[in-house]
Amino acid sequence: MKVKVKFILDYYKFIGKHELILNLSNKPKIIDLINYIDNNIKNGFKEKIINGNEIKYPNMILINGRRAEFLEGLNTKLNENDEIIFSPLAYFAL
Amino acid sequence: MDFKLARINLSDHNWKEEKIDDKLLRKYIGGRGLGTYLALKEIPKGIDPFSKENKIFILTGPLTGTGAYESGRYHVVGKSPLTGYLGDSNSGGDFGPWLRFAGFDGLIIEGKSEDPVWLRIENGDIKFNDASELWGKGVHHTERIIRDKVGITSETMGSVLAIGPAGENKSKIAAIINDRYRAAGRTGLAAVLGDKKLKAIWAYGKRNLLKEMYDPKKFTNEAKKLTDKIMANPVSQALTQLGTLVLMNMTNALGGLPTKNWTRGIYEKAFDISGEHLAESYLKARKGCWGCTIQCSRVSEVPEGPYKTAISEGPEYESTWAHGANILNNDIASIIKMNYLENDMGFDTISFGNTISTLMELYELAKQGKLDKDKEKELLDLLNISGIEPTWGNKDAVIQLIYLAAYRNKIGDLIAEGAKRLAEYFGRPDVAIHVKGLELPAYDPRALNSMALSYATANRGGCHLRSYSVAFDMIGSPEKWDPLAKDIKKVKGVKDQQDWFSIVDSLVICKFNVFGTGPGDYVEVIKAITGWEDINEEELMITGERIYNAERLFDVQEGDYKDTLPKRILEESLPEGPAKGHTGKEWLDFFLPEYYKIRNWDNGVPSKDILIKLGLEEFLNR
Repeated sequence: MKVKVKFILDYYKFIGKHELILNLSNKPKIIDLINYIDNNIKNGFKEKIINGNEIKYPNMILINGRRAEFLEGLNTKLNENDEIIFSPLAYFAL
Repeated sequence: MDFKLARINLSDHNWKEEKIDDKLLRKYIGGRGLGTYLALKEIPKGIDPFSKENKIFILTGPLTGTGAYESGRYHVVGKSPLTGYLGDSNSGGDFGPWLRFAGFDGLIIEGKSEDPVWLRIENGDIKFNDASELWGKGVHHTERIIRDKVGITSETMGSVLAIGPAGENKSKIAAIINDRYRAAGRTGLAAVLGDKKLKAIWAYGKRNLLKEMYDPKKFTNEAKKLTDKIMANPVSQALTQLGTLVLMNMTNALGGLPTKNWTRGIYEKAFDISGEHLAESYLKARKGCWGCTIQCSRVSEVPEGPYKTAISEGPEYESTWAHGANILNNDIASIIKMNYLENDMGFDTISFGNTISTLMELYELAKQGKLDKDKEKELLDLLNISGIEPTWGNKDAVIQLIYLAAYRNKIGDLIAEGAKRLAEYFGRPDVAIHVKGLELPAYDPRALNSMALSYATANRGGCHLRSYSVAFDMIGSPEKWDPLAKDIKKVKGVKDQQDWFSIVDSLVICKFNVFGTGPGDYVEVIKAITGWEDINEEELMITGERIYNAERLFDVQEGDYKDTLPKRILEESLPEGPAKGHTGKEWLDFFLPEYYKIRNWDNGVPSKDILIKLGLEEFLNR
């Protein structure tokens, strides 16, 4: 199953790419995607973004533009062609 | 506290010093609050903004230039030629502190000069100078000439506030620019200065604000505590690293990045105009306003190519969006150039970009035969003699339009009027995206729903700085809101933020302060400066509410004032993304009745009870 993953700010620097298309096994959840990136793309990713079952503040994970906390958190299920964004923080702009 | 204003009469080139009574100052604080009081008191109801009776109040606040964190700002208030209501705008840079060091906490600009003039304000004295040779020149050149004349070329000494050709030619979207790149941009008040023929103000002096404080030692201690708290906040740290432009990808991800004149909420090329891309391409350095170590400003340079631009400040998030996603332009180099030129000509970049996207849509409609035939012919003829074809993403056309609008030449004469008047002129008012005449900034309220209420009820028109509820929707600060949830608690959040931001603009400090700090954090600093020993957080919030109601009173007394959103935002849903299917009407209908209830307003008009409770009864029958 293919999903599009985007990395913003510090994660862009950490991963070295703004966007990746990843092939995941069937019926993955957000936590599976994080594990996949940590194991196959860049070690240390998981530690940066989560602490146990919690998303570390002020990190933000968006699934198709919706914040994970307002879905099912790290257990949010992913679907074909979903777009997932990892950001260390959203910012104030004037 | 001693708060000294200079009343400057441009008609007879005289000035006098006036002191603001301490009790009055405490009631309105300074900056935006004091400006609103003065406007209610001194600007007659119903006047033409270009009448001699209109006034411009350029005001600092008790914290300006003191060294309290991010206190390098000033506020401008007057009747807006763009909206017809009370206009105000705020700017950073160095001018606010230098005005105070020059001996004045604010200026009341009244009357009209026969000929162009610039003011030299130094150490408690004001001199009127002939500005004939400056008239017609851009802001950058104006600053250079004035610095040569006063003999201070170091940019760390003294400050110049100026208008460009846009203000001189009374463009309703003209900005007051200080320190070359900082703008009091919104509501077109530079056009009023142009009408009064005031080209520029130089401020310099050696006044020691610390010595005038009630308790300097306490101030030093309390200001340090405040600084530590602000800098411990992750948002402050992030702003240092990345500036405002970093928001581009995030707003886009939430489906709330207005694209193609607000017809979409996602721009597929957003990364090309993001902070991440700027950092890899044209970013040269970071810069801060006076006394600020966050340094959120970007310094950029396009070293070669068609958009070659000298090292300059910007572009910020709003400017980049308005000249990027909203006109389908993904060339960051061209946006840096546009930003530079609009600063030099003296335009509000948010309003200018929106007006251009309006023109591009009108042109598209004309080509499709969807305008009235006479208007279609007039538009195409005007564009033909202007030598411009404003197709989506035509960045070279935008650059030409900056000059044409600044000098009100050909199609530029209509661009200079702003989006609302441009669209109305060609018979398609629905194409202009504005609230009360002020063009909207870069957050689509269909995707960030609390902004529907923020925009609709912003006193000065479509503005994200009366309440920045995006902070809740996107950042989760001070609490996390689902941007698409119908949650009634958002109403109080917006109302409280409007009141608190009124205080922020009156003290006058930067809104970046509000992350990690609230009104209570400023109480001891205010006491140390002013000697208002019994002031507390509750009084500050009531003062904020007073200021918000005072502004509203000015506006409703002008008549025909309505809290609403642009027709497109109200009625058309976004075609894609997380907010697909939602309209602004859906959100506004939910929030607005509750908002009026907690404000004690009757359909947008403050009740007599609330005005009396807040001590505004003297303006009831203004």
